[in-house]
Amino acid sequence: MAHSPRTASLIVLLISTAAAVSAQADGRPRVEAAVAYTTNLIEDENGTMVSYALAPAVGAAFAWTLSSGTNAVLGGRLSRAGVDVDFQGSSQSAGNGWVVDVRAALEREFGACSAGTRGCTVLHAGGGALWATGPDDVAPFSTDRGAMLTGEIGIAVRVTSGMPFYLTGVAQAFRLGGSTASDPIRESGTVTRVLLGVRHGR
Amino acid sequence: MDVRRGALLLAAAAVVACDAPTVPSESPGYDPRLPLAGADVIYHWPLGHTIAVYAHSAGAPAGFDLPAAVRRANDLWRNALRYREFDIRLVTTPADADVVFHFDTDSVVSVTSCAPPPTGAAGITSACPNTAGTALDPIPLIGGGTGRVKFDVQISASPTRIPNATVFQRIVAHEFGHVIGIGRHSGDNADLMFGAPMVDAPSAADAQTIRYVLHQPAELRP
Repeated sequence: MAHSPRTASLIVLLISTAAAVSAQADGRPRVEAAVAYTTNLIEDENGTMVSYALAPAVGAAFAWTLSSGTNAVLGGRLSRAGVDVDFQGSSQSAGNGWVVDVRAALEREFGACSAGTRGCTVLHAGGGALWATGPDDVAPFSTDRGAMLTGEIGIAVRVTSGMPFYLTGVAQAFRLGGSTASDPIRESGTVTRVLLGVRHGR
Repeated sequence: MDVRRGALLLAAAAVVACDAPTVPSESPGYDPRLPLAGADVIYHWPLGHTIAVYAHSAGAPAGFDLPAAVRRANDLWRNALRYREFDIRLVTTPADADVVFHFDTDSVVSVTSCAPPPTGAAGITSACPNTAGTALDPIPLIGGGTGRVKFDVQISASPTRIPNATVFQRIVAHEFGHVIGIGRHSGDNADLMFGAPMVDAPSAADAQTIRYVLHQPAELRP
């Protein structure tokens, strides 16, 4: 596929980012796994919709304490998702694609987080960049879009007092469409990803 | 309280995608409907269908590679599409084919029972609608059996009609346009679907037309 070298470069970028961040000695590492639901990538008024299927996602991040109860986070996620094309109710698989995102975020802790007890709740807001790939004969992947800016908010709730396990929920949004004159998406719109999963690491 | 507010924000963000990226609907570049007795109808293969094509090369003039021309025609038309609405696979026997391409010097199907004998053109696409005009009947195979062939595409081997490989490819691509759903000719000679095509690839109007056709309900089903 034409997009494979690009995907490889994105993975290298992600690994490089993680490596650079890990060089910071006081960063607290985190790993996460989630299930990603993505709203429609395209709604064609002729009745066709293109979307990513429900997909697993993995991620890594590092967090630094800025002040009591406030953290900065740098991280990335990787997801491989099926691409579905729905022709007026008849859904067909068109192959697979990758979704890679890198992000920076600020988070705020609520509850007994410093004591490391369950119930500690952390909210975050941030932004970054996302790359989405898929079969290049299916819109929106037939147009090279490069990185798309993202915004996200999320919540994490600690569920254990010993090991630092959290249940996480993230809503991430990015704009898609109108990137070039030949872009079939004439009316750009918002795509939302919701990731529900678990995280290990404070 | 802040936690609750954050959770509400999260929930709101999850449902915010009410302005999904949208591709507006299109009108056809020209009338693509097939004139049948009493009505003009839209026809096309089911979306996502892989069309089985048998390219019968017997009688091919030197330098005319029929399977390659069919593949090229498929690529040209698929470039006009957005969602991989169809693809083709070449098959090795006419019994396995949805569509047969051949030269007029040798055929593997016979449309004489349901359509006038095709003569006098560089390319002719024939099909056999059922009596209700709702579906295409299989075209009988020469040598026995009905198979499942729904379109017979005949390409002239005459050098006066098709003098070179460029025109040959053009004619194959034009007839391929009929196979995938364009039932009429364009009146604009800038379009591949002009009656006597003068261009080698689908124009913007051709592209608009096939995109329109494929997403209309098929009144006549192959």
